[in-house]
Amino acid sequence: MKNSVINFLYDTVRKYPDKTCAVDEGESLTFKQLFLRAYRLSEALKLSNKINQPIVVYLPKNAMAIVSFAGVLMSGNFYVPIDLKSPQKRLQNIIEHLCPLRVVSLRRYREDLKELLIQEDKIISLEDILSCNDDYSIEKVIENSRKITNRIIDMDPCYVIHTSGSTGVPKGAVISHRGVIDYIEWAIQTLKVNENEIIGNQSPLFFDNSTLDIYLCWATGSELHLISEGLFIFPIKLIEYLEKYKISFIFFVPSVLVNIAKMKLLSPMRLPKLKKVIFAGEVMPTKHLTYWQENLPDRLYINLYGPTEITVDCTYFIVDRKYEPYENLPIGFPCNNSDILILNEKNLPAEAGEQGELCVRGSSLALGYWNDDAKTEQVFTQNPLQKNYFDRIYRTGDIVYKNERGEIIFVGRKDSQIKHMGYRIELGEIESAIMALHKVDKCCVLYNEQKQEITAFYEAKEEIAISEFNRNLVKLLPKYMLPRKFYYLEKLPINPNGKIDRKVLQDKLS
Amino acid sequence: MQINVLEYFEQGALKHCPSKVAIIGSDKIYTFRELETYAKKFAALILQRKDIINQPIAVFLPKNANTIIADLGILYSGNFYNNLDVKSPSQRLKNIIDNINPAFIITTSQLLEALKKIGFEGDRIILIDELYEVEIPYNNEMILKRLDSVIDTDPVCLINTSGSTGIPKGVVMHHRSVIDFIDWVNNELGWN
Repeated sequence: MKNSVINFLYDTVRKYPDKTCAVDEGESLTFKQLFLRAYRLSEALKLSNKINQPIVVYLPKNAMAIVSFAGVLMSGNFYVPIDLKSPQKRLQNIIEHLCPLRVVSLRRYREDLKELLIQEDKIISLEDILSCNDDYSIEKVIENSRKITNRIIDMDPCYVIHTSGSTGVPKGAVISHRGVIDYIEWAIQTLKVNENEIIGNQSPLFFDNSTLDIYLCWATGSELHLISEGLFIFPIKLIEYLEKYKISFIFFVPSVLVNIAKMKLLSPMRLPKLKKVIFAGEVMPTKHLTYWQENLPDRLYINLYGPTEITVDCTYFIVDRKYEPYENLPIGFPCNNSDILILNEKNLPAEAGEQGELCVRGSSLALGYWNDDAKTEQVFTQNPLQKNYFDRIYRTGDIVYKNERGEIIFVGRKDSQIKHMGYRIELGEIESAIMALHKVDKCCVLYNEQKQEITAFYEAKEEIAISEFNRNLVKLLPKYMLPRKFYYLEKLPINPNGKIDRKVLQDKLS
Repeated sequence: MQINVLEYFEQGALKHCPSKVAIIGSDKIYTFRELETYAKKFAALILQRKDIINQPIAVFLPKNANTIIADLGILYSGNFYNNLDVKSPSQRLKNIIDNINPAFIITTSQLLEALKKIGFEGDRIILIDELYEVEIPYNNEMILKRLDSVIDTDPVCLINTSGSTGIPKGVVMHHRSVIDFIDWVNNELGWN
């Protein structure tokens, strides 16, 4: 049994030292190069003589960030990736709350770090330690590193990822080595990944979808392309990139796939090497998925679902047919070694078809929120179905139900359930109804509490008449669920993770 | 990642040396294959009585091959075992059983009296003897498929340790902790 995720890299660097590991805009590193650089960083981190401490990685998405993650783990500590574009106040909050042992960065970010009030002696600039060019043997390095990494147990933290907190202070979900090992071993088996895979990464490294890309690469010896953010603004260039580098595997947020479908950039001649199209993070509109399926048939399309707090994903659905525009794509079935409970309002298991909150049990659960017992206890609770022994569940706040085939269907967020004119309404249901309209590319439905109005924001080629909306929506929704206001936007705002930014839109309402 | 302790059995002995001797009991010798057959039959027997999962099932048997068969059978049924000490004083036994509240107690006809004395009788008793008396068909695939819903943090067994209040404490061991320990033993001691 593995105690630390770094064992994946020890095994692979032995097997494929000269195979390409990480590629970014500027450089390409083999496993051996990445490993030896990581080792130098770990030596610098070991000078503090501490293990299991948070190390902030303050870097853009590039190969050096992957080197840093490995180096941090080889030093027996855990990494905390940071969004460089976050507002300064938010970053200050995170750093203050985290008290990192060290911050790994580059010289050019010195000023930024100073403004974040990080002490000079805590900063490690990678240029300073990577300049020397001594060639160690892989075996020697592994042997040396094991002296530290063998002291790590599988319940120790591997990384901390910050999710937005409703109070404005981000919550740091602490993910264990075990959670990642469990997840990746499931993924290798289910997604059938081996050393021949070429992975095209979209997810920023401070977003946990990147966990899949990084660790599949380390565990199988596949090649990881860190595709620069800029390319996602120009889908044509993105597709050219995927073709040029023979990308076979992508794990993208639906928004990106939707943009490609919207611009009708696919045809059966395109992307011949692409075999696996995986998505998660938000609802994938079925009409856009159908476009992909029709233009790129015979690919594996997989819908994954899961919050950060249970180590990336806990359910999966291998798309088995084409779905009508008004149908919901299931989030499917529990991943191996994840137990899913659907609890109704009485905290009892929901009957088939009955809606309830999706709760998760098992080794994938985060160790809690960093330095925040109160928030941890709110959502990591004892399994209400079983009171005889310690048995923690994570309450996702997502409302789901099981359909007649036993597939789990996502309905919406618990907090996006509104009470309107006495009815309990799930805003997600209105969103799927609007998405069934051919002309709509993206949409987001919010409730204006003050005016008691259901409000829809949508993205399309051109503005759509309200009468046309209503004519179509009455076929799918009861009258009381029809939005009162429709706002046309050329582009819906997107958050740093690449999803529709609901918060920005909510702010527009007030 | 190994999730269930039964994977040792399924992927290990049953794959590599099914006809080797597994257990030498007081009156019978079992190969791994025989052990598997009896255990799976016993799992079917339990599930025939009640379709339960992740529930405690107590085993009230003296130490012999049947205890191993019962424990394995309970694991194959997706539940967890609690081996009781047949020499325990009645009151202590009663305290344990009241605390654990097992779905079933597995025993043998000679020991029925002892259980009766503490008020445990009726349809929550399963006699291990049945295993040798009646034909019990089982579906291997179904048994294994059913185990998919057991995760590594689910209990594997309960071990009673003495409690200062007089009520023994039932320590709940899970699959994960046993696998963690056995993997270390295997590695460190070079078992084969």
